Amino acid sequence: MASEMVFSWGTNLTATDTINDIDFTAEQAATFVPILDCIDHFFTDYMQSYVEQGGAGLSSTFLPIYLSSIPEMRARIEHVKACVRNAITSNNLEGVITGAIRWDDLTSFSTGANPIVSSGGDFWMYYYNDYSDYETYKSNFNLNTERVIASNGSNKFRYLKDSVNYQGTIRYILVRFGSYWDVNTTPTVTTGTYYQSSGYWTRGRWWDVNASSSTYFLGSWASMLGTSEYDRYNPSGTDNSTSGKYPSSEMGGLGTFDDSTDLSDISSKPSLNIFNLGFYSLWNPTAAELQALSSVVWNDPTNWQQWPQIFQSGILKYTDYMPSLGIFPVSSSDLTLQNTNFCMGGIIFNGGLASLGTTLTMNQIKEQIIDINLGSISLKEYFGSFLDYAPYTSCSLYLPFFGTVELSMNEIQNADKITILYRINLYDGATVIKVHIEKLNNAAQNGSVDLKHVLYEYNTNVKTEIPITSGANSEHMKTIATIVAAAATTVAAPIAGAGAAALAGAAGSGAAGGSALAMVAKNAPEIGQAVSGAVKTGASVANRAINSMPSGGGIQRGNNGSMAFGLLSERTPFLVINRPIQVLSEHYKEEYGYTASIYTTIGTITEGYIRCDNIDTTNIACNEQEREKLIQILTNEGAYI
Amino acid sequence: MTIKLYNNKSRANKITKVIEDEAVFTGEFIEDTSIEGPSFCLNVSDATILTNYNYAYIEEFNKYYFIINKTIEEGNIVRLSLAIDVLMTYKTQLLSCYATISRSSQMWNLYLQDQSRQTQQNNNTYVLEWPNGFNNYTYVLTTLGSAQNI
Repeated sequence: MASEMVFSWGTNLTATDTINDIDFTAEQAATFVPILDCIDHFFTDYMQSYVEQGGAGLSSTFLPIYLSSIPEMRARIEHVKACVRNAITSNNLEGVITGAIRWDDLTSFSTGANPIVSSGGDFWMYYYNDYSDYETYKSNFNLNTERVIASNGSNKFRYLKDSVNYQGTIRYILVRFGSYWDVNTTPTVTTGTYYQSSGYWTRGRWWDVNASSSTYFLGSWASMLGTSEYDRYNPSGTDNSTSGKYPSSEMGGLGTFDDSTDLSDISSKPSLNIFNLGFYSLWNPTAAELQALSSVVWNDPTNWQQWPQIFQSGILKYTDYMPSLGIFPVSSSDLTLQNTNFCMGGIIFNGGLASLGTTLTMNQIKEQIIDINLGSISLKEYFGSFLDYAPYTSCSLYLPFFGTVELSMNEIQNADKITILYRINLYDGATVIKVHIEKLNNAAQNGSVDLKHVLYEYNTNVKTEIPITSGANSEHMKTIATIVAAAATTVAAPIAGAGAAALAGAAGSGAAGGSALAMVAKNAPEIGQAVSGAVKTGASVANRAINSMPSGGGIQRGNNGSMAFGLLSERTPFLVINRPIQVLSEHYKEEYGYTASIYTTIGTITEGYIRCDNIDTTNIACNEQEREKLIQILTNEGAYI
Repeated sequence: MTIKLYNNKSRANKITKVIEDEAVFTGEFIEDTSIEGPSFCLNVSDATILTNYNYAYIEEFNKYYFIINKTIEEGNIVRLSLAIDVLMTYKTQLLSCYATISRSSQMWNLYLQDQSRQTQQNNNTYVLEWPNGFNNYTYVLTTLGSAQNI
């Protein structure tokens, strides 16, 4: 273990000091806790990865030593973190650690030879900073930017808050714990990107580069300072430029600022097919085939003599074996079909019927659940400003067989793809409409994290029933009338556009719509209904009646579009966007400027208008009356450079 | 005491003023006067020559001033009343001050709400259609029993 080390500010830390031995201000903690967590994370994962890989690169001699060194390594981690913190707190966020971690301390893990860190081994922490003091290290190791925490007896860590190039933001950190890097050896990058010309390393990628004598880890955590690749203000001065830098050290909280999010495509459809159970079959008849079938059903009863006894006796009618006939808004090409002999009740429809010939063949549907993908649109910001978002810009989405819903502008704005998919149950018409939003790589433009997920999901029914008995027809007519009445009198309730509420379906009474589904339910036994909960409860149909969606200030754009009404309604989804008409006077930018939240010197602005929320005038040698006047001008009316 | 008069063509809240037509006067204050808001008399051959001057610099004070009042007194005496221009006076120090800038013409975050941006009462309505819709229909018949011969 290392002996006591003295820092340049006279702060003494022992080798066993940990992060708990140093008091941080809230600001310091907010800024650097993520960095230290980064180091912690690096070692934890690095070491774990090494263990999992069986200590790849380590000989059988040294691997046991390495593995046994892990507890001690953990102690070193804590010490390094303490050193970093001490350096940072001691000198206004800028500091140099000298003698903090010597390389030979790291080598002391071994019994003499160094299995982990070779003779030139170092503990490095790089971050994006063009600070030039480390040119020597840079030339030695062929890196463009690096900040060394510990190296070959001369150990430095420097973090400049507001250097011109640095801008006070740590975005990415490479923590390298490895051995000597021969400048003549080109690292073999196994995955990811080590260094990009812009100086940024790819966010969120880990890679393990095994050079001839080096093993090191790259990790970049956008969360370490609560930043993503997006910087919150723009120092460039270029018109409409939106790049910028995140205000340094100002996190406003001690949260994790973890911007990780799960990305996923639309889930795959279930492979459930009720006709495999043997109780039901689904067919896709042509109009001609239906005509042929109906001619048998309604034809001269003498034809029944051709049929088995059970039909002749009148005990059962054909229609008892045909519980449902409906129209779906799909094409036969959307279905998985197999042409086969039409049969009912397990009996092939044959028997020498004069009107039909000997047999009737029909396409049988082999896949009960189908997906109809209506494609995608993209939506780009119109203004490139806050005006693109609520409440200034609003939108509503019309969905065929459903109606109009309001979406969150914040969620769909700048989406690369807004995909609409109808997942239809051909057994009963129960349909789930999925709206999938994909919005990637927007961080640099407007700070938003990646988004790729189904965010909206609505239940409806796209089947138009064709009643084939008088009783069924009466039920159908009654249902239609009820739905219309409910839509006309019920106050529309907005559906939550996002989150679990939308995915769970909106609430509403089931009285009106229940009857429509109940009609289907009467003719269909329980088997198979479990496929879709909406069939059982009937609530979703009623919901469609209630969810006549107003959009934009209570405007009702339509009402129930399900079932029979859907076939008569618009059948292509469309997005209705309401955007403001901006009025910018000439030279607005020069005269009024745009909003900002930037901490910098006033002289950074070289022309145009400037107004401040607060100013540090302590370096101005003036009396208090003048000081007040200065502050009043710059904070109230603003000034022109 | 050296007093320089100028014609200021810049707005009052411009930090670096464009000042022209310099006229230099020397003399001494013969009465008490404030440094922040001096008032003094100039003996000029023709009072009208001061008509175009609206700005002043007092060298010994190293301060700039707006001429806020001119009073012609007896003879060719013109009394000038000044008010300090803190922006121009402390320009160099001011530009090096740190501040949280809330509006500017060069650095901005366009996604922050801006209450001073105006929009018309009427909106534009756009419609974006999806590439595909339900343009076909087909029949689905449900029958009891398996589609197999028994």
